[in-house]
Amino acid sequence: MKKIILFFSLVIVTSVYGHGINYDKVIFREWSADGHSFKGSFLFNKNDSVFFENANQKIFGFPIDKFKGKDKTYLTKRINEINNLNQQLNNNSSFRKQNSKHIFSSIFILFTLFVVFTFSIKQKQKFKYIIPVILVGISTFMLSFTDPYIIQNAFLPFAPNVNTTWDNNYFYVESKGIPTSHTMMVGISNHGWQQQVPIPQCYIGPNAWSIPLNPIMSTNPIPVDQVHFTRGAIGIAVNGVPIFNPYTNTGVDAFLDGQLDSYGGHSGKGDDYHYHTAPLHLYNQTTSTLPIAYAFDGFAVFGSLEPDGTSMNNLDANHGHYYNGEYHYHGTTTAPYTIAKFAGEVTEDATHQLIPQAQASPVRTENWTPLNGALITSCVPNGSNNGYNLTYTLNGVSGYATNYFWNGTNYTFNYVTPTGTTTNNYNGFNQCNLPLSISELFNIQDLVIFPNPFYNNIQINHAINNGFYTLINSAGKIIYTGKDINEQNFSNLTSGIYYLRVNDQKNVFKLFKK
Amino acid sequence: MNFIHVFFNYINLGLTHVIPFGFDHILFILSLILLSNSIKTLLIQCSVFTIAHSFTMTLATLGYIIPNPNIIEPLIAISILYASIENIVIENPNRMRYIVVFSFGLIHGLGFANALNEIGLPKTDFSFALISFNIGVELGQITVIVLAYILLVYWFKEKSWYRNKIVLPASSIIGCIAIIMTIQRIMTF
Repeated sequence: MKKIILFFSLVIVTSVYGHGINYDKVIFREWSADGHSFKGSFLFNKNDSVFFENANQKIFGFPIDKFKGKDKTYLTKRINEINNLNQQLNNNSSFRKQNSKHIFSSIFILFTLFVVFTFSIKQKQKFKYIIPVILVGISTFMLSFTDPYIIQNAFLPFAPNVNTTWDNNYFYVESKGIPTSHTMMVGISNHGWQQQVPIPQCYIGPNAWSIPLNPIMSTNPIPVDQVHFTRGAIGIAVNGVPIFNPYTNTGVDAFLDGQLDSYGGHSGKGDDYHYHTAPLHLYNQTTSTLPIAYAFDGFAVFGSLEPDGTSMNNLDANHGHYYNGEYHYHGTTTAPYTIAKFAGEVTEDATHQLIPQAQASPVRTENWTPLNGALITSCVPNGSNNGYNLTYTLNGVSGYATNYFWNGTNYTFNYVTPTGTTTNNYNGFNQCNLPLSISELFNIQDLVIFPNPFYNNIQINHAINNGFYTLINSAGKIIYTGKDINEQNFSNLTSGIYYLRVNDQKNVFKLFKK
Repeated sequence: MNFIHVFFNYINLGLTHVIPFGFDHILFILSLILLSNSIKTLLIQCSVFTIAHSFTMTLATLGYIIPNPNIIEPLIAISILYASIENIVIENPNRMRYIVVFSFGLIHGLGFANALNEIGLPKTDFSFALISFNIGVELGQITVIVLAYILLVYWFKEKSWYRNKIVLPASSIIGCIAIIMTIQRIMTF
């Protein structure tokens, strides 16, 4: 009996998952256009024309309306496929997500079926006790798997300033912790300014922010309060700015105390900019059905809407809830703003900070204290874009400023008062650059390579800073490598297919020489 | 730290590592109890389990084996899943069951060793503390066995509906919990 079942399951599996011969995918196909009949492989379509390559590597095009019947249906299908693929470059999450979940769940279902069959093929009445176990197993499996592409979607709108990567356990967010869509510091008033300023940090590489990919519900949620998590961030906003406990390290609500700027942020002891409230204003840059932040227990933080666009359901004691089987928090305008208690498991070290935690690097050594009567009026990048000019009034008197800039590892601070300027130099860390991967993905679409087919020159409309190009012929030989591809003369190349690699091996374009 | 102090301290630690922190070990022991119609089979299963886990726990604590919690923890969860599903499938423990229980005991012992590793053992009175911890674990285990035996087995084992109304549903519930644990532990692996 077992053998018969095994045999039939193998037959079914091979017939379902095996692929047959698909005549649509044959490389050289017979075409007829405008009375001509030719053999060729479809290459691409451009401006209502379709291009083919024949066995002699010759490339030729026809207007698409010259094709009739079967050829036309085939071409429309291929062009639609190509357009869909290009759309997915924008929105690659749904595609990959289904793929990985599909693979994992089929492995898992097959495994459970195997276990059940080996055990209980003889006694059918016992099935009803095993079925709940299998169902619970499948649903746990589906729910405990957070898809990194879903998280990446939330960060993508801020792509050039935020870079994301992941491994099996963590989703990593790399940023410099500086918001690009709003001013910083302006509006901090009263005794709220502790004389700290925003300096871009290196939350990059091993010092990136880590979001657990497989959150585990905690049996005893740890509160975010005056005792726990008073140091370091509790989450990361989708623009790469960390979110801290709403209570400062002295135990007061930073927002109510006037310590925050009009966007709910300020700079901390390491001159690191961070939010203390929910950055709901990020919805000006992103859509209101995406998370505004991720908590470091692995759950998303949404705004006033649920992921499907309906208004927010009631919140539990953690300031979140399950929605369609997945847990998330909501950001609100009153305390506790983002997270009341960590619904998922997190680790707190002896100094009351959540680990793993990215670290800011302080540059200044003085012990700054709150400046009574200061009101910050502006904080703008300086002309050479290597620092900021922060101006403030003191008890209504203007003419005060902290202007600072960096040059390598040297940081120069000019403390301006109406009576004079004090200049201090500090030795700090080297400012860093974000890796390019997401931004590259974005800019690649802005990259225009023309003409194609090319004759003497390849013109590239530079959307990527410091683009590095490699031109390779169809035999794999490198023809040119360098930055100045626009200046090169390729008139002596033989006609045929060439490949242009941009920056990194992932981005390869096919070009044709005539 | 004197002897009495070490003794009670580590007995206490061992006990609390079964009740309440050793939730997975409790589930495994419950699975064993559910498939024991008589005191005899219960005693055989539990002592086989105890011998096995004391053995590996000692070896691991002395440093002869270095257990990797990333592998041990999912295996412990799988052992519970296995035991509970076997409870549904077979009616009486057979020799194969004892061998399986013994090998799972070896794995659970490594789990205890990991827990003990996190606490640490005093440099002096090392073996004494180890034995005390083990006694604590056994005390916790015996408490679970006695309580569960009285509550679930003793009164009902002769009843005609004992298997259908207690053993099968309870094993099914344990199986559900075990599969959740298994998946969560594998996912964080």
